[in-house]
Amino acid sequence: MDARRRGELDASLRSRLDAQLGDAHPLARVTWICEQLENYVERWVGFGALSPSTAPTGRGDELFGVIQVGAALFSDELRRLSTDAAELHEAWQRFARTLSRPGMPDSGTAEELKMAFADVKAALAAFAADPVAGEEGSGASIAPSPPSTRSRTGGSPPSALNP
Amino acid sequence: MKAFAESVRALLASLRSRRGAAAGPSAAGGDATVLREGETRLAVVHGGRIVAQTADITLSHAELVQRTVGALPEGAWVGTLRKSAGVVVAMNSRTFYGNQLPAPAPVLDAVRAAFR
Repeated sequence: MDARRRGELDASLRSRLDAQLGDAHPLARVTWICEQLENYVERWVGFGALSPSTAPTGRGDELFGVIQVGAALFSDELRRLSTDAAELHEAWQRFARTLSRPGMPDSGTAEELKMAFADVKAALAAFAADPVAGEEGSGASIAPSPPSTRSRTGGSPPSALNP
Repeated sequence: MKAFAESVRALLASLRSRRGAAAGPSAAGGDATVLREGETRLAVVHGGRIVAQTADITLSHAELVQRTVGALPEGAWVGTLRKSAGVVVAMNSRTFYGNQLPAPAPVLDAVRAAFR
């Protein structure tokens, strides 16, 4: 996927995030992008599972490219969340390493990427359910900042993700 | 009367498309769009033709439907299509159908009439 196309998709995703959750709690933003990323991973894995002829298509594979775009935004938003939750960061690093492995996209790693993402989703759900406990696991003791009252979506952090 | 309703629906889809997603191309509306290898679209097929599609693959299928046709018409299909190994293939929307199976043959015919 060329830089122009990647830029278009990145701009679209960021603008939708800001339009829907502009002032929302950082955890709500991370949760939103996690849901988008799940869609992208499932589409990519889904096409690979249809038949060998629908497996990843190399450097021009837009379904893989949009996963990379979503992952970059997730990383940005995770930094904004400013959490030291070890389980979440570790799961995210495993996913990021799988995504950037030499040879990707490769159909042989589709299931591995899917499983790595499932770990991220589970870790985020656990953190969302109990942010303080998530921080305690890493030795930190900070809690998420208070939600904004200006958010169009309510601003409160989501209580949990649907696993 | 049915044809008129179809025309109105297509016009509405076209107007809505200006907010980010596009209507067509239609199987009856001209030459097929040639996709690059790996190029991907989200699309809605109804009545044997593509009534909405977008290259903005950051969208969910639900958002595509909401932005273009409002609600998925009875008998319509929504999913993802892409060119892979030189062939345009289409896959059901998991959100709408609960599976990621290949699109039904009539849908694939409509997709391949519009994209190659």
